[in-house]
Amino acid sequence: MNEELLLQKLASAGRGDAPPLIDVRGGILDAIAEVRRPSNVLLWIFTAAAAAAAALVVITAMLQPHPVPAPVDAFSEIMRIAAPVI
Amino acid sequence: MEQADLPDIQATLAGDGTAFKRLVGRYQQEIARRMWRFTRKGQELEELVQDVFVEAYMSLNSFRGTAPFVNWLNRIATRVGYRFWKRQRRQADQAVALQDWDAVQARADTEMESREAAELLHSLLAQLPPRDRLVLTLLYIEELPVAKAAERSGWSQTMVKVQAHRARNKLRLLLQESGQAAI
Repeated sequence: MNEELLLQKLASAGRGDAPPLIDVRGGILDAIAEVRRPSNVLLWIFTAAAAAAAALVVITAMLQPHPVPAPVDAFSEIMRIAAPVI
Repeated sequence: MEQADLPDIQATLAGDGTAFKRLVGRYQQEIARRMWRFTRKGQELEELVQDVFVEAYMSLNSFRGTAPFVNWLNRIATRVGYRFWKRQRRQADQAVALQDWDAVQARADTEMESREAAELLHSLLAQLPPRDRLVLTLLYIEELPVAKAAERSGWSQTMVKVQAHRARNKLRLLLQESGQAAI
């Protein structure tokens, strides 16, 4: 018997075969919620990256040879430049 | 498309979970029949059917409504089943022991119960790589014409024909390797 005939015979004989009855309605919304929930792994990666960035900023600031001047507001800065002229 | 499908699809897109449950209830047995080609285990069958509906839910906004909803679901089912076979193949990496195909062929000549025939066919096709298995399943078990098989698998019609040819050749070799084929 060739392979094509074998396939046809088995497929034809198996035509009446049916799966067991199933019902997935009960858990379907939970399954969808599970898929949509962001993965814990991603959450941990994000937290670790944020913590590492913060630590880097602190270390960089501590290693500065001269303290960084405190930021000034725009008005004071303009006045500082303009005062000698006025 | 069934009359009730469109309102349920729209309600689902608007966030109504019970509308989606109605869709699931309407088509789950049809999808189970499809997925029964991909596994013969009840537990896996249930998981696969669930996977199909989860995937359908996630991509529901891409459903255009030009063809019946069940056709769209069937395409997703084929994709999910194919992925399942690929995963299974990777996990098992099996060199499945060749069965006594001589006995199978002799058995095919006699009256068989449909379940037995379906199981024999399932284990016969399980010897092949997923692509070959899929194309033969679509053409011989689902008895789809080439155009429909192409639509279902997402391949071109030429691809389906080429793949089917290769798959039949591999099956023939397999039968020969078992030392039984009398082609």
